[in-house]
Amino acid sequence: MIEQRLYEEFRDIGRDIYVGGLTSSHGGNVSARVGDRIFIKRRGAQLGRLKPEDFVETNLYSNDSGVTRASTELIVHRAIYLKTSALAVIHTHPRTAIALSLSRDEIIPIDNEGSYLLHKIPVVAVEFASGSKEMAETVADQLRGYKVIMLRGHGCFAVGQTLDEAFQWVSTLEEICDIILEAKLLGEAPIEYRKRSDEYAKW
Amino acid sequence: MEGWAGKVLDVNLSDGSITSYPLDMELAHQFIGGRGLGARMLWDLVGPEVEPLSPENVLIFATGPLTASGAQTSNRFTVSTKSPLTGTVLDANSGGWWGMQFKRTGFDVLIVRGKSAAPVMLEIKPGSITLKDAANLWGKTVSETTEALGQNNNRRNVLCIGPAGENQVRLASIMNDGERALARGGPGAVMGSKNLKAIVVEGDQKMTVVDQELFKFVMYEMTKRIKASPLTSQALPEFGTVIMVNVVNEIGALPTRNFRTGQFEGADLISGEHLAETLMVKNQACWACPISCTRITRTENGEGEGPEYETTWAFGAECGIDDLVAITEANYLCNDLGLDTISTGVTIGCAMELSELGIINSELRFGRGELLKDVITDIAYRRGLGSELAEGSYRFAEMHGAPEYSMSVKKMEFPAYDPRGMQGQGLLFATSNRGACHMRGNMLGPEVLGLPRLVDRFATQGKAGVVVTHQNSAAVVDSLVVCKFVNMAVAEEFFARLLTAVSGVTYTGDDLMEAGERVYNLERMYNLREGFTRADDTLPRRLLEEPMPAGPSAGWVVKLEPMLKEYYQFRGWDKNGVPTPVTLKKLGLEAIR
Amino acid sequence: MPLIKFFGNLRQLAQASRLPVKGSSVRSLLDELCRQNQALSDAIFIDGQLRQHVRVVVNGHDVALEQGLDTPLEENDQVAIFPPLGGG
Repeated sequence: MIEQRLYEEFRDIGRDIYVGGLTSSHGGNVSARVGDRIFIKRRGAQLGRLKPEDFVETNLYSNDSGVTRASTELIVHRAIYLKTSALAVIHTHPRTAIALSLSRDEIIPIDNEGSYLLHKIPVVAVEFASGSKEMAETVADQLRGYKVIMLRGHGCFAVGQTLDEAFQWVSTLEEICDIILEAKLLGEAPIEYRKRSDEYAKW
Repeated sequence: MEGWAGKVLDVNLSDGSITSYPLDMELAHQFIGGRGLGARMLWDLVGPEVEPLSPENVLIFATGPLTASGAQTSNRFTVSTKSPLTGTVLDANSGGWWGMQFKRTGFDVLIVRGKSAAPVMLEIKPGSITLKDAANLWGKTVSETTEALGQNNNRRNVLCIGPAGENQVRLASIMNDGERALARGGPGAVMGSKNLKAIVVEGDQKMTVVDQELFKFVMYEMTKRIKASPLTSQALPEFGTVIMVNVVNEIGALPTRNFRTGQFEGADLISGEHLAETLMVKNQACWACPISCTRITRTENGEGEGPEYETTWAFGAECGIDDLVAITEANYLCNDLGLDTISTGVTIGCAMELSELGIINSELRFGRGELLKDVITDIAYRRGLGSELAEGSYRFAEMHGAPEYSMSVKKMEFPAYDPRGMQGQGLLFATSNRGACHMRGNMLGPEVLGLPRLVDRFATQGKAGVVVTHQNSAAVVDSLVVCKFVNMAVAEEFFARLLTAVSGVTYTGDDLMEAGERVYNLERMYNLREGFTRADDTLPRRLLEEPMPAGPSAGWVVKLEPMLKEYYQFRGWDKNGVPTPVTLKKLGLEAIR
Repeated sequence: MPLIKFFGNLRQLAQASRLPVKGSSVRSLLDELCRQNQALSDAIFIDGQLRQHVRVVVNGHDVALEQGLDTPLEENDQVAIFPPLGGG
């Protein structure tokens, strides 16, 4: 059974994610690593209404028996924990980020906060973008170098030492993308205000 | 030189031979440099049969691929050896200018082996590397030696031992650039046992950077963060590390009178605020550092660097002394004689307690600051009680049948935090590879300062993950080699990109974290090979069984067992704290058995 | 009255290392303090929130782990305020 303190963190962040419009009712998932165990949201549970029984616990390296209710993305979360120093993973379907991911290989912030915090967000593409081994390895490899990445047309994966940190990257990503979109809609020539702004792509 | 110079200098003091050969780049990429590379080389060179003070032990001075590049704090370097204090793998870490200059001689690493028949010094200059007779230097203090050999911060740098190292005191440090210290674990004693008095370096090789544009961009981004963080832009430059005295005291975790309790009534008199008002002259920076945390201070009897937080505590609250002048002068004296201030202060504190309990016969008592200089000098020269204290607090207390009064882990004396007020810190001290050490992942950040986020200092569940991450991160910083204070403002992903830019080899933040984990596991394997076991991952009885008597941390003992269990699980070690084959394979350490 | 203890550069701004100030909660105490001293107010608060890395510790316990600014205060409580600090 999930410990109360951890459950409350999941519940609050899950609610923030849904109410913040960062994913649909049953989309996305969240997990945390504690010691050599993973706690992950079960398949079919709503991020915005998480209850203690909505969490599945399993061994870090391989599934405990009876772990069939875990999210289909467990394979990705596990790969991330085994390949990076992450202690928390959040996956959501942020709309503007997804729209932008369709037509570019990296998302480069134009706003001050976004460029300071993230520099750039890579976009990767895999053939079967749901719960496949190829997807798991690709996403985990990318997250060794970035705190949040996009899977083209699918959504974002963000990592952190805490759920709070991972959520910050998810939220910042969508803010970055909304601003890019709005600037495009405004259609006005931007006045560059940052030094070395052409170098973010190098990150 | 792109990142790594790619060369090792190897000096054998027994036969006077000096050779150089290429650095194994495969190892360099895996272990980076500094602490990591030093530990890996030590694994090959110094096995369990070697006595730390015998000619078969080695000293491995190591820089990293960022050293001398000009990136922020790229001045630091390490020395690796088997510790005569703890018997574990040891690395000690220092700043200043020597490391930068050594890299400029065109080498990444200097290995010193064997033992010279008579005192010598090593001089490395463009076109000439020689061993010279040092009879005229032997017996001189650190400042005398440094001056005699022509110290010039930017051009010619002296690294040496003082009388403590010459007398193979187990608490002896190696000093560089006058008052910078490779302090903990007794590396000075190893150098003294080899009859090596000093190493002087003058270099003329410049670092080249493969991707100049990326390098400048990352440095620019780092500067933004160093300026934005009030720690690196205000607190450290203005007050230095000694600002911590009041913070740690306020929460009841400032060890007082040999860890009898956690608050010191004289804390404010030995605080950073008080130092700034009374003895401070100005702050100072090491080479290529924008933070300037060093204090230059002056008393009636001298002027010099420091004291730092740990030193101030070790001669202060630990010994029940509230006289900042006495503490500061004790600090100057340790620097000049070449002694680790932390271990020296805690060993004296131990002696004070044994004296008060009547277990030894001595004038030492808690609070007697006027005795500090004499006892420190006696330690350096192994005179009277000093000859016993020179063995470190554990061996000293054990001699008198009272080892439980040595506040140490694996015989390394505690630094300035009572873990009964910081559970995670307790786990850190119990598991650090060189014994009780805060520089291996200080939990002060998360448990007290709220960096990056505040965690409950009394909670035990979940602490293991935080400790492991901090330990791995510290190993990265110690291997690059850069300063932990810049790491307070800047995360590993910045160093990874710096390294990529400098060397042309691509590193991600997690490549570095993985290297840190690799280094940590290798050090663990080294200690296991030496015969250390799970039983050594422990804390003194006082901290496990005697509840803190008073203050905000009252009633607490360290609940080590549950944290340790979670820690081993997190690290991928078995119940006995041995890295599993799966873990070793993941880290590419199958050859380490 | 609770006693406020100042550390680091807050001492210069407060022109004291300790000061008794009225307050039944941390919030009301700090409001009263800041009413008396604008420079301190600027150092401690931004947009009505505690500045990042400023720590408020009541009787040795960080209020962030209690009820934050709503932590209640008793007569003889000691409230330590630390500006952002680093060390090791």
